[in-house]
Amino acid sequence: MLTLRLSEFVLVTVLVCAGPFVLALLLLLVAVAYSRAKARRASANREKYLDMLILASEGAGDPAPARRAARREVADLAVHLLSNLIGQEYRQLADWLLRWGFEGDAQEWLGSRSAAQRLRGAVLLLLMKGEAAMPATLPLLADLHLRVRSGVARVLGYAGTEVAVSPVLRAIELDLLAPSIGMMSILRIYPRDGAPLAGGMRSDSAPLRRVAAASVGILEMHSLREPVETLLDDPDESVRLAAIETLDRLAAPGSMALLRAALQSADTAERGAHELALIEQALMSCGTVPSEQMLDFDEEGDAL
Amino acid sequence: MGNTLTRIAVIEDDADLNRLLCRRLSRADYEVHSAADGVAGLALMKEFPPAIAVIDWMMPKMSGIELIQRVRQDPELSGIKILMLTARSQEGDRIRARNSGADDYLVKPFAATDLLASLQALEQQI
Repeated sequence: MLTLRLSEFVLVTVLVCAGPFVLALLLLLVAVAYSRAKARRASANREKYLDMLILASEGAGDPAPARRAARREVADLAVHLLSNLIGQEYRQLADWLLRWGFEGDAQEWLGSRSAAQRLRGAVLLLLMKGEAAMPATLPLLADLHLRVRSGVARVLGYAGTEVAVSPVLRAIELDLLAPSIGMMSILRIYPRDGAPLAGGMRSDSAPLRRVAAASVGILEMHSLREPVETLLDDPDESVRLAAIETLDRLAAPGSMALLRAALQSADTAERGAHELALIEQALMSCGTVPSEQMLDFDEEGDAL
Repeated sequence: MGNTLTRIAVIEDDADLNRLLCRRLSRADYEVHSAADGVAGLALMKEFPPAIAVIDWMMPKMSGIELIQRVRQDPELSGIKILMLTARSQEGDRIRARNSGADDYLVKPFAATDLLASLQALEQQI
């Protein structure tokens, strides 16, 4: 019969009890080592792909990798670089991507069930092909996922053309796009055709009327002054404020009578000091109103 | 080439853009050192004082504006020519950059030719 001395018994007991703990520790160490090695490999790959893309932007460049995961990584890096480049380097990098078949990847990603993948496809396609990519990417302004809609709108801002303005305005009208994101996109496109914005100012959607009115001012579309003036009586306060600010930006002497009437009308008291102050500022910008004709405000901002 | 020995510090937190800038400038025969934030950038400039620093505006730990102000206050660094890089393109931003002590200002995205032209113009002021 096996007999154990006390010291042996203690040792065996400790080993048996500590076994699971030691095993867990070993597994943890292996997991940490594996994840570190994976991170090192990912970092090395990233640097390799980045150098490849930088070379491509200089007009040279190796063939693109064939592995799907690697191509996704290259696409993401390329999007980042293209967003920071203009001119010849941009064109050369876009040409390299097209040469190595990334248009096919982007088209495939556009139809993916993954929102991130659809966004990746749309952004890459727009950056590679600009206006030619809009028929395939504009429908994504109505994508189920907000992030896709917003991401596409942002990229349309620097890769899109005037063709994108109406779809972006429509997305704001349907509440598919945050007005601020849609407006940024429109301002970056810098449209010279005022018709879509004029239409936006007639919309039933207050956010769209506000965006359209504000954009007209920032884009200095003097031909749209009259439609903006009609918004001085808009039922929505934010639209009225946008209209006043735009008339200020346009410094339109023709709008003075309307602004002065707004300043003196009975319901201006209900409109708040901010709006009155803006009207004053707009009138001053027009440059012909003596300051003594302006309303004064007390410390609370109320009209005196 | 006249610019072979010109030392440039690139201080940009976007790792990809930092690498792109360093490569472009190295290819243009500049001696390039880089850092990824304002604090490291200040230390880098003290260790290897550059003729020109290319500094991003929005950075962690210390913004580009604050970094430029520190450089201008430091007697040993105050002569460095500074090109500020930023995505901020409003007129007020340009004025703020100039007031902080930047010698020139380049808005992202930019072409490499614009970057090199700005650097050459700064070199001529040294």
